[in-house]
Amino acid sequence: MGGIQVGNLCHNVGSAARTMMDTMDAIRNILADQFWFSIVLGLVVFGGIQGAVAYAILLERKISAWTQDRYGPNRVGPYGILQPIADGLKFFLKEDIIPANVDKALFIFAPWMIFVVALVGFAVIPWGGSFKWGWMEATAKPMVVQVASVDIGLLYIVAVSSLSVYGVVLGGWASNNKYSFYGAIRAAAQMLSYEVPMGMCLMAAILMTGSLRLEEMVDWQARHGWAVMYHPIAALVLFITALAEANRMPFDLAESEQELIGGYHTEYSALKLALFFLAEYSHMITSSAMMICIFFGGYLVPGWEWLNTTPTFGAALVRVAVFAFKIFLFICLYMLIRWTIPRFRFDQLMRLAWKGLVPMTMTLVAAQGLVLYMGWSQWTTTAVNIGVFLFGGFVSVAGGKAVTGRQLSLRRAEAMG
Amino acid sequence: MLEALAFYIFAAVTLVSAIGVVASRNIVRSAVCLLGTLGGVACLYFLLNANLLAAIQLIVYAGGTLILIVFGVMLTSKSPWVVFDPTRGQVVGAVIVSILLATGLCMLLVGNEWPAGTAMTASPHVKDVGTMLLTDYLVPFEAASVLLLVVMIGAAYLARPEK
Amino acid sequence: MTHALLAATPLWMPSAADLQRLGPLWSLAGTIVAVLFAALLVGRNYRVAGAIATLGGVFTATLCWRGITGGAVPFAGLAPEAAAPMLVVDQFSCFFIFLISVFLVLVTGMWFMGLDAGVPDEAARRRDAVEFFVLFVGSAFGMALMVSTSNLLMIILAVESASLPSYGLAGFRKKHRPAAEASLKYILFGAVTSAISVYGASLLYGQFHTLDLMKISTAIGSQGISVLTGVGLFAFLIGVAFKVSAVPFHFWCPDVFEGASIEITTWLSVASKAAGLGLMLRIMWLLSCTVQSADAMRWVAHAVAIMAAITCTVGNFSAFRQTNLKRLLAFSSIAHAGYMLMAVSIIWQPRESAAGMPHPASSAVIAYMIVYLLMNLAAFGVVAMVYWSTGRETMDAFNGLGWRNPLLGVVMATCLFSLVGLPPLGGFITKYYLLIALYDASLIWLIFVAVFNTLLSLYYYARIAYAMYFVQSDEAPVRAPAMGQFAVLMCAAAIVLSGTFYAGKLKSFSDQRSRDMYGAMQPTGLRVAERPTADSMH
Repeated sequence: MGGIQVGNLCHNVGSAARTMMDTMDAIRNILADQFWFSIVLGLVVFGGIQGAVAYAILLERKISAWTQDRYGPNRVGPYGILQPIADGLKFFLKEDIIPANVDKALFIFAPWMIFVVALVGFAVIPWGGSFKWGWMEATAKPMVVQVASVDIGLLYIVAVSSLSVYGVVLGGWASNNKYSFYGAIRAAAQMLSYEVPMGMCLMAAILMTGSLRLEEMVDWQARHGWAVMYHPIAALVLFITALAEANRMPFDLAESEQELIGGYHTEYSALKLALFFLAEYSHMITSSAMMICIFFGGYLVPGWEWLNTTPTFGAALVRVAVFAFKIFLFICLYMLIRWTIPRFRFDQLMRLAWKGLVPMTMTLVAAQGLVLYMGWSQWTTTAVNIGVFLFGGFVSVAGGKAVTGRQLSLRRAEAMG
Repeated sequence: MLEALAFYIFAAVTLVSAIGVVASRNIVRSAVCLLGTLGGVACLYFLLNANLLAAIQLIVYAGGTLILIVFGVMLTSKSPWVVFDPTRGQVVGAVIVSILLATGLCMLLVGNEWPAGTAMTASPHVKDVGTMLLTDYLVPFEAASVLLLVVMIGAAYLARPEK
Repeated sequence: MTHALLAATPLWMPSAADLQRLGPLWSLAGTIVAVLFAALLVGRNYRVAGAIATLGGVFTATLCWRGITGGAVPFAGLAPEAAAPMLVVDQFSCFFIFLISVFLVLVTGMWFMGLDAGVPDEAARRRDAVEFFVLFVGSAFGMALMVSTSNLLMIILAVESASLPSYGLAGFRKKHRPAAEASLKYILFGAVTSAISVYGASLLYGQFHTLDLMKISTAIGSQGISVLTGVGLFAFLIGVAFKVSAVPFHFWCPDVFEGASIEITTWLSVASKAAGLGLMLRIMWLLSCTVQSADAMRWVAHAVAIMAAITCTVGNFSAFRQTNLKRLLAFSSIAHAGYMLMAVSIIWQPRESAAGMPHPASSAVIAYMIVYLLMNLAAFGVVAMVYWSTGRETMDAFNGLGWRNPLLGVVMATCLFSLVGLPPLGGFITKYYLLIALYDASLIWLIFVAVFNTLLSLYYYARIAYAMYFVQSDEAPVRAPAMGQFAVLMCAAAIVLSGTFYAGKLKSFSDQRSRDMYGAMQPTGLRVAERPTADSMH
């Protein structure tokens, strides 16, 4: 009797252990399969970014406070670190107002559209190279820390980010409010204009590295050094266009509070308003990640070659951490700029894009093509970059037509008066 | 199985939003529906392993052309409440004509024996597309660039304010 | 540093000799760039811009003339060996580009004359000359492309590059409301037709897996023409029919002719039609270039014949009620497009001994085209001069023109009767060639349609002549620039001469061109007397 029971118990324990082993194996198998791994990674990235966005908003408030010699939020939790939770709760609990005379369907659609679009761009970012699990065979294909590795990686990001303007435009239009509408129109013109120099900068980088895949671009930089050394001005211009695409200061004419109240999101409240902010901050993170991959060596650290070559999970984690740190630095830069540089006027904004950035970046693309064709040293483009920068500076100083010059119409008025 | 499911989903998105383009009475909503159509077609390209084409579809049509359409529509129409108001006769006529045309074309397209092409198993490398553009299709490529130059001058002229 | 992009296979480069043969196209494209660069160097100078356009036109015409008469090697190519030829520069295209570039020069002259004769928006014209000439030469370039390709993709591109600048030209007078309306109608119509055209091309591509008309033709020859092929072909041809303003794709024509400034109207009335017809001829010819495909194409050709008949009749009937001369001439040009389309519809007819012989249909079109160019230039020239002098384009501005300016009256009368096709004039002789060709092809019903239409057209052309000579008017005499009077007089003289003393010369010239074309387009022995087998065609 007792023996049987003990036997049963043993059996049960054994089978439980076996099932546990089986489950472990199954989990291991799933984790070693790129498809499922990508899905898991996608979920992790999604969650991570939402958290990051919440804290980015806190960071923004802190940085703005420090810039202006204030304390910033410091009541919720120690140093205010629980503030994002309180903010989130507040957004959820506020009354969601849909004004009477709006185009209801589009009014609801717009914030979701911009939010979704801002999120899907993460799919092609290589977060940490490739690695192998300890239990994987030596011959097995290594895992890639990237949700989707597609041939057109960079084009995908461009395609998706070109859709983000719809959210702004439709939101502004559907609100049926003049201020919103002005904001939307400004945003559309601005985003379309700044996509051109952005494309040119990306083109220079694509030509140089010979690939559209972000992971291959990072690999190239592992071999040749960070791309920013060869194209400093392209990197700078890309950063400027990223500011403009995200509607950040000094390019936030779409929502300039003094003139347009809130621009395209004047009529929005509660969760929908939160979605606009989530999208803006997600966009900042994506564009930072893209810039880091293209020009700032992705997850690479100069001098730490072992980091790039070690195929273990631990090394991959370190790489992801490096990447995240770089993104953090970029976000801080974004915010410092927001709280230090005043806003452009609209005509200055357009002039900067079409008369300043586009010719400059076109020159860079042409130079890069020539360097490739003639087989010159890649350092030639560094010289060209510096030359373009100096020439642009010379023109704007000597030509008396600085980007921040007077409005043409004002000049004419002065001349007449 | 998964692919077939995806195909039907994307095809449904494309078709439904295409109907939305025509049926919507508000011109901005039509444009938004067009976005669904273009996006659905881009997804179909993805399914067919034509990644580059899909990205170009999104960048050129959804991101470029359509936003200009929306832009133009918003600048010209007064408010969200301005709607098309076709008469009943127009609607009936349009429906009859389009149904006839659609059935005719569908019968033709389905009834025809299409020569089998070579199925693309892997996405062609972007580099191959580029090589094609600069060899086999060099002439159209260059002709298009002349066309764009001329058209750009014309557009700039027409858009320039009269002094 | 070896680079990923350069490691690819070496890129194909066209040979220098190939590039040289494309001279006319280079020259036109270069003119566009030269106009722009000149503007960069010397600023907005209308004289420089016009001079460059004229020089470019003359240079292109010279190149083409050498291509036509110099016995240039028929050239089909500019693509790697394996791919289908994208550009075809042969005597056929050289002839049409010659016509287009000569016309370019003449219309430029007309533009300059208008400046001195006092067009209302003179200052704006001088200021915007650079843009004007860029668009103008740009559309000429597109038309030149239209007649020098046999590839579906290139045809679509060429039609677009002829159309898009024309939209801009039609609406060039920005302050002029009818011009804006004309431009908008033109764009909408053009966009719809080109969409249908691209759809048709995609159907054809899906069926035959090729964009090359020659290969499509051989495939049609071996498989016969299915309903779907027919639908695809028709949809595709709609884009071209739009350029020739064949009914029912002609609605843009009267509005654009009325709204655009008169040089543009002149330009579109001839050049756009010449290019469209050239393209149509080449498409129909290539598609029926094997004996089997010619059989299969019979139905398509019949449809074109019916379209031609309708175009003619609708054009002439609509012209009846017009009082605006530009509008009236628009409908007249639609009718003439119909006549020329009649010739296109018989180009498929197999002629067994074709090797060294001219094809009557293409010689008829060429002769018609030459005389049509002269007639339209002179008629629009007179309308322009009357407009510059009186500021009106309506019929009553022509009252008593025969007495107010006898020379213009005579020239206009000559043009009108030539447009009708009355005996001692060029219009008669070319129409006669056309009818002969139709008779050879045993399309008797089409002859009846053509003759009936000629009678119809007599009415409204004679109405203008009546106004010029028999309606009293006490308006001031029409003062016209001497150069302009001289130019239209030359045109009128040429019309008279081509109908009388030089009729034979016109005939032999167009026969020679037609023979060259025939030789040039003769695709390596496909259309010889013995029927090629299906295998030898691939």
